[in-house]
Amino acid sequence: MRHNRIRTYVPVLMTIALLSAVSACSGGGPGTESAQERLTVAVEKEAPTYDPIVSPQVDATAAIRNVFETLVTVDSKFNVKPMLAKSYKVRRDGKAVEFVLRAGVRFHDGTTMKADDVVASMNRWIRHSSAGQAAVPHGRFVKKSDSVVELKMKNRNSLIMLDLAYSDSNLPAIMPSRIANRAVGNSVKEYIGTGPFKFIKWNKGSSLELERFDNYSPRKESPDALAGNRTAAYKFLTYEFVADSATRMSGLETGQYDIITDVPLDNVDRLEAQGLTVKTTPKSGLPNIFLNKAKGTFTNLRARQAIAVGVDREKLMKAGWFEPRFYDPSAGFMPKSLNDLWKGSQTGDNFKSPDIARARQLLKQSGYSGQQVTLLTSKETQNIYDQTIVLQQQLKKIGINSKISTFDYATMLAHRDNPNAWDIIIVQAIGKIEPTQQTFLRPDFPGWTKDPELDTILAKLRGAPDLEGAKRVYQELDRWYQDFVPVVNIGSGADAYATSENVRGANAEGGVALTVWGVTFK
Amino acid sequence: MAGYLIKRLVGLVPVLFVVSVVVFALIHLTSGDPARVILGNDASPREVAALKAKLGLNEPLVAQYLHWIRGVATGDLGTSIFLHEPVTKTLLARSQPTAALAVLAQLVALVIALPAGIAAARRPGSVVDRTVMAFTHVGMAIPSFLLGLLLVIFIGVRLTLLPTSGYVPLSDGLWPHLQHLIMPAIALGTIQAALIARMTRTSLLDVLELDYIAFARAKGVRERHLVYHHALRNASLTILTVIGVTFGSLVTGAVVTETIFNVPGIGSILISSINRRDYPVIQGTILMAALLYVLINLLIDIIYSVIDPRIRLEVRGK
Repeated sequence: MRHNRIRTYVPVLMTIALLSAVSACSGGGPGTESAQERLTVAVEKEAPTYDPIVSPQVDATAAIRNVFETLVTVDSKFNVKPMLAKSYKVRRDGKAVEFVLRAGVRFHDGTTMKADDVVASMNRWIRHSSAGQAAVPHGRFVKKSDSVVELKMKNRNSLIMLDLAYSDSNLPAIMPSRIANRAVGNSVKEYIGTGPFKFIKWNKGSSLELERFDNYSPRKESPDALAGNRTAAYKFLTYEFVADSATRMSGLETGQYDIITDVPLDNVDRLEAQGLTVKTTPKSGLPNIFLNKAKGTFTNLRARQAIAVGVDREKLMKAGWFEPRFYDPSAGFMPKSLNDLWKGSQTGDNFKSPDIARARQLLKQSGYSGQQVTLLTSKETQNIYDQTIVLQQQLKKIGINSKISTFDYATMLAHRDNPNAWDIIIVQAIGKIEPTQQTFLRPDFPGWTKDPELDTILAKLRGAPDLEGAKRVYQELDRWYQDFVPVVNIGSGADAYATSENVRGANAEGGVALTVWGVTFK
Repeated sequence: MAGYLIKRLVGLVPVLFVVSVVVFALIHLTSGDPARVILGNDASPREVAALKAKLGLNEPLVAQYLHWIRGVATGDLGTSIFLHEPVTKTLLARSQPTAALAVLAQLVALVIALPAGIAAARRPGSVVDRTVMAFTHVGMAIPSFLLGLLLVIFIGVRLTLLPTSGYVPLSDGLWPHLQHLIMPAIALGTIQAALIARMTRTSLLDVLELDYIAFARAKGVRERHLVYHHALRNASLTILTVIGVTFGSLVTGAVVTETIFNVPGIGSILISSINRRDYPVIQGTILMAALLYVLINLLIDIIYSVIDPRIRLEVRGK
């Protein structure tokens, strides 16, 4: 009997011993080595490519801009600052920009950056990235000497320096000419840049491994968002792809990750209660109600205006972003984070309260007679889905009969391109640094905005003598936006990221994504 | 035996052919466009159309199928649209974590299930039996994600005994490898254990009621010897079938568990590929899963004949 009892307890005792051994081997915190030498960032998504020029993904760009640098960048106030360029000068007629390159900047393969590398990289950016095509469709870079290059443009573009400095996607990154020339329209096979970290390995489906570049050529200026000295204080940087938000959070709590991004906003309190630091990115997310202007009810201006005056932005933003610290309800063209750069309607109080009576009146004037409109959405973007549910209720209040069509994200994207499939979609765009890059202005983008007056204003904006001139023209664009209602902005939203207690210096200034080269450990 | 094996292996061909046609048709008829997913929110229809053409997605479906199946016949499952690498390479890389997890989970399941099932069968209606049955009810009812999350909270976050997520290959050391797999293996194995324990109890009970057992007992054969040497061997055919089926499901996609514990295995790549419409990876994964299921069944049939010599694996008509 006694013998049997011992046999029963043996497996239990062995299990306890095994777990104790595991615990001992883990050294007080699972999976850690020297916290001073490695920073581990858990991000939600893996990108199809980490080619900085081709990739439209913000997450991918945030990771790979540790490896690659650009000619110019922005500081925390979105001022354009030189990075690989020593200086730049816009020609008087605005059709060319001359860049003097910094001398002695090393690529990770040991070669020195020359004008040929810059020309090859920048021409690849112009031809093979959405951002390059939008900014300078007919432009090209030419070499003037080993240390001077020039961007030649067919037309004046007062916004070109902002386009070149924008660093959240389609990065105009500089790489050796042998790589840029070989890749052409395909993704690069080698990730060789001049940045503070060199690319080590992409473990597909798992992680991206970077290591500090000890021959990095830093700028002398103090770090300021994306500008200035980017030298890292630690040796290894790993981005782990962790799709599940609960897994990211538990990994941060146990010290497995130092930083996690895309923290679900309804879980922020939980992390804060445990002493973890939760921060927000600038309010650059731009949830807009896209209205189908190619077919159906919202081809009519009055119907669009009815939505603009009838929706309750505060309630819609609360449905998706939970707490006021994460959002600002507004009706602006540009996000709140760019208030200093582009002063327009997002700073005013217009449309703060919904005017149901006025909305009903406008709807009546549009000739709307109760036909059902379709709201397209996907549950995979939970905050947008929640906003869509609330929007449907608000549409009911102003007298619009609607149904919601919910699909998985890929199917929703496919339906979005079909003007027969929907009337309304809420799309969260990332507010681009300058207004002409906003996707909802494009005639080929879902929503299908076409207006000759818009073309005139955009031409005037780009053709302004300088950025200050462009800012003045922006007021016209903003007025057009309020009158034409290409989309209905609900507000500006932030994302949240969290860091363990010992991490200092991570920030998302100068864009929407996280910058980690300035991290130090307490 | 050899004839039987050849016949079964040849029989694989039509099965895999049907699977390939069904999978290909289902995936390609589902709405959604990999080019749009790859290019992201801001891409213009022109850019999307250009990428679709580059990926060969504008070809007629039949032409696309024939192109793919010709490759499959030579062992080439195509190239991942998203990862830009051969599907065979992707699946091989992803098979390692999944196989390690499946083996460990099966081990957990067997360590729990066999003793529990046997103990319950030996004393039907006893406290042990009732406890085991209660465990099997709970085990079969509890979703693996819930058990996984509970393990993460208590063992990973509160006790910090084990890492909450990730995977370390065996080549980086046995302990780091096991550390990352213990919790997902417990989450998966416990649920499989419930099913195996239940089947063990039932089939053993059935055998223990047979005449030859009563005869052996009457001859004075000791109870332990009776159960382990006489009854369990006969009962093991049913148990083996269940083990085979559960192992198949472990190998071909512990989707939720892999996601929760961030194990880069077959299940997680399948889900990611479906979300981003990476057709070649989805097709390759499902074809591989079908192949594995058939092979596991074949293996079980062979083991049957080893355990029970009365079973002969022969080609019918001989």
